Amino acid sequence: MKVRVFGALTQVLQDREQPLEHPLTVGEFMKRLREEHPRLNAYTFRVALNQKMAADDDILHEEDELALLPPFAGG
Amino acid sequence: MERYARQMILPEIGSAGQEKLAAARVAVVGAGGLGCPVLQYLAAAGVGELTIIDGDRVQKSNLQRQILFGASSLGQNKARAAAARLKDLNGEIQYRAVDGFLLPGMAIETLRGHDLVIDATDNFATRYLINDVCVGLGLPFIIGALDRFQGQMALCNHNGGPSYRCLFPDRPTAETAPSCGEQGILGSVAGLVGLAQANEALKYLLGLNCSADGRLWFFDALTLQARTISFKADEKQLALARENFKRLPDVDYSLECDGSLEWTAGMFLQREKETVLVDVRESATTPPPFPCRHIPGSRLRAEMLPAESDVLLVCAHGLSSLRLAVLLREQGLERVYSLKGGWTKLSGEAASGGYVAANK
Repeated sequence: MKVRVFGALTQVLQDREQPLEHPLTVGEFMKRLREEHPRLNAYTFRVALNQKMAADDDILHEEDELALLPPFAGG
Repeated sequence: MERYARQMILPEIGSAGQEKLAAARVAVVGAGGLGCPVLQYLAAAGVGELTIIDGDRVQKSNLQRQILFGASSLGQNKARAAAARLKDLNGEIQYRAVDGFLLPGMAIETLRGHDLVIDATDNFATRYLINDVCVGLGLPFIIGALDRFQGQMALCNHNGGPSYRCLFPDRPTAETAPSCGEQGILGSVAGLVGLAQANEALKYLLGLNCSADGRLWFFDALTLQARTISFKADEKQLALARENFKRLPDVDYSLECDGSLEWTAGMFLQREKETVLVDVRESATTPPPFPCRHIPGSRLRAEMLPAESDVLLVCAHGLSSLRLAVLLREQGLERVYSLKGGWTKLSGEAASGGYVAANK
């Protein structure tokens, strides 16, 4: 699975290929990611799965793209 | 109609489309890196009436991306300077310059009567204010925002569709969503996102396919990758916006949104609430231009400051006051702010704007 990171979140983690050894939900994956990168908890962001806002119980597949989207401030 | 001939040839526009543009009233909030390209293209396309809202003044560091301004606009109000420049670009349409920031006390009357609002602001406080006013008035609005080489854009509240709050219900902190001033911006990136907003605005006014409706467009200018992410209306967030709209002058957006840890000189001069001004310079080498308390930063403690009023910390250039404000926020003082640019900036603005120190 591809994980795409936008905006200021790139200061916490980078885009990555995430192998999925067994089926995971978006909620389970995000919990692990937050444990691995506790700084994520300071950020506001939405999680999109294949270009749609994701629900916690959506199931992740190998060919999926998960995007972490923060709001931008500048203008 | 020679001016608009090239766009009127398009079967999607024609004379009927041009009449739609001529009859349209659009408000652009912010005449900065996004607002300048938005205004330039909406004016050139013949949008009948443009309201430009900005309380800031043109500085030399703006010229690299705020392409309506030049040497002759330095020190002038951005809304007025933009209107003056646009009159030359297209003198056949109407302009209204609002010399002031969009604030809860005047936002409804300022935006009412428009067909579309463009959010070209640089802060979350104003973005959520625009959201609530537009939801309350039933106006569609197009958000645009920048983060270094990336941009985002969406059409919100179109025919009761999702709003900005539906997309981002939680407000970020200042540290996690820095401004262009803090982290830098390339003018052409602001231009790309501003043009995406102008393009969606024209599509909306012409009744063409509103492809950004309920879809957030992300663009990365470094990799040229783009994503369009669908989002849905959230009844709870729409209800919150309507609730805020009803009691608007009492909603404190800067408090609600700690993204705005800093006040600009203009925001201070135009403030609607009593503010405690504190000079935090270690030694006051020059007398402060406004009546204030003097507490050197090294001796400043949270318990010395009132928790129930807005406290604005000021130093020479706005750096140590910002560090102190961050520390005091962490200690639970939620209404403490730092003046961007410090006394240096405030003295200049107060002198050029002809403001009078109203309260202490």
